[in-house]
Amino acid sequence: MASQDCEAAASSRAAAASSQDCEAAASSRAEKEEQKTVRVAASSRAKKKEQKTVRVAASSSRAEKEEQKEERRTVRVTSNDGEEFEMDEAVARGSVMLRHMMELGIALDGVTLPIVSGEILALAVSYLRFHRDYDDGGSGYGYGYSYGYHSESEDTALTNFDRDLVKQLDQATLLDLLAASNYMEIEGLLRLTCQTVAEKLKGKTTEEIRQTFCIQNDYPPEEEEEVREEISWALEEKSLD
Amino acid sequence: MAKRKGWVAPSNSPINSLDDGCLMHIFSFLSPIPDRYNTALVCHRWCFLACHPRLWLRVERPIKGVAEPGVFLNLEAAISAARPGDTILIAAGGNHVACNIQIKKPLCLIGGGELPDETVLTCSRGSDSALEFLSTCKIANLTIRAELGCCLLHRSGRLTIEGCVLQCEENPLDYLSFPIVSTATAYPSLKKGQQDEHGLTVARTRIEGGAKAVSTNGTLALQHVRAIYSRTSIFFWFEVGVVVDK
Repeated sequence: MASQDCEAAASSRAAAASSQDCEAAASSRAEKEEQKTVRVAASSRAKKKEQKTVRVAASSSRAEKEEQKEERRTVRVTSNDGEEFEMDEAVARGSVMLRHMMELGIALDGVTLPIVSGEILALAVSYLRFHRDYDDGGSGYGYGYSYGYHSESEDTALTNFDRDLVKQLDQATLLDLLAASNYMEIEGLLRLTCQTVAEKLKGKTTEEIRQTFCIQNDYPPEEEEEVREEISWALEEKSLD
Repeated sequence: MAKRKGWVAPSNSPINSLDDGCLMHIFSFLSPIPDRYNTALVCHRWCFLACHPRLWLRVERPIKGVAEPGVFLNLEAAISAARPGDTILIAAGGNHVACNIQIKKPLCLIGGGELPDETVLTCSRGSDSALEFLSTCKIANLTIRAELGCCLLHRSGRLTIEGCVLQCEENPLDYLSFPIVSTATAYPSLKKGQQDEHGLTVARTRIEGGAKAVSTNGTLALQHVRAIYSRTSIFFWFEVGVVVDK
């Protein structure tokens, strides 16, 4: 309300400036209004402070655990094999899933993730903790699959932390972490893991990709040739592999 | 072509247990040529996902007024942002302007409507052509309308035109208005049988107006012409390429 009054004062001041007559009267009136609103704001601020000290005094008499929760506000997240992790709310907000659960008030007794193991959750939590200040949390909605369009500037330099995080992961852990970041809707971690997997795909022939990821070829040879024809319209040279 | 080895592998490889969205997200980091092409040949599912329209660029007016990645307001912006091998989906309806747009990388342009008539690229009077192709490209399901100049100017590469409608001035001045102009020249291919010659392939396309359907100003020739007269219009199939001596 205070800001609205200030805005009103500012606009009335501006209006007064544009009109030439009654300028002096208007400006003095505006000044008086401004003083009044400043006084009102100061008094309401003082009132709020007063209320807060009362509340803090009251809460200190309650159980210590509850008081901690109110002031620090953490979330307890449990993996499917029973490992527990405690995070500040601000840290947990990096995961859109957790953010929504906290906003809906269903995260008060902790959250159990049925498909994320302790090892993976540890990695995710360390990512969230590191990035709590750097990511803006995104739109909190969708990280749309950018329709295949990635400008070079978007492949931003990964922080050393990100690089080290994924460097030592074996393929299975990396894919699990990808699935977990998709499930928990952690945009930055999802992009990091997808980019890492994409790096593993770059420059490989089809057969090499199959070998790296243990995928069975389900194309009979004639069909494979057909598909190759169909999608290779853009290639300058027909022969690949 | 590599022979398919007797590869025995777990039927559910870990990467295939990711959901479609995740896999498409991974593919979106790959450039279409050659990486996404290679992934498309891995297995049926990967082919479906790597070629999925969700990975295409789109030319349309965003609904919420919020800029989405991969959605562009006009065709020129989409073409300059696209990577070689990308596909651009042009939304049906609306007013798409295409004047002297040069395409120097392999792209595929597709109209977003059911019929080619629903997606119209208009080339205004002052321009020579709507689209100028200097690379192997493919266009499908589009209507290209040139008020004065030509619809498509083919300079080099292989151009495929499928299921389109090319409209020109009804009574044009001869030297100005052709639906298709090809100035490509044949060059001796280094290896026998390698199909990297320039050429033009037209299929199931209606051509209306213009002095004649295609003008070849280079050394290529019109061949394999087939036309079907339907009740309202004429559908053409033809090729412009190197004349093969039989």
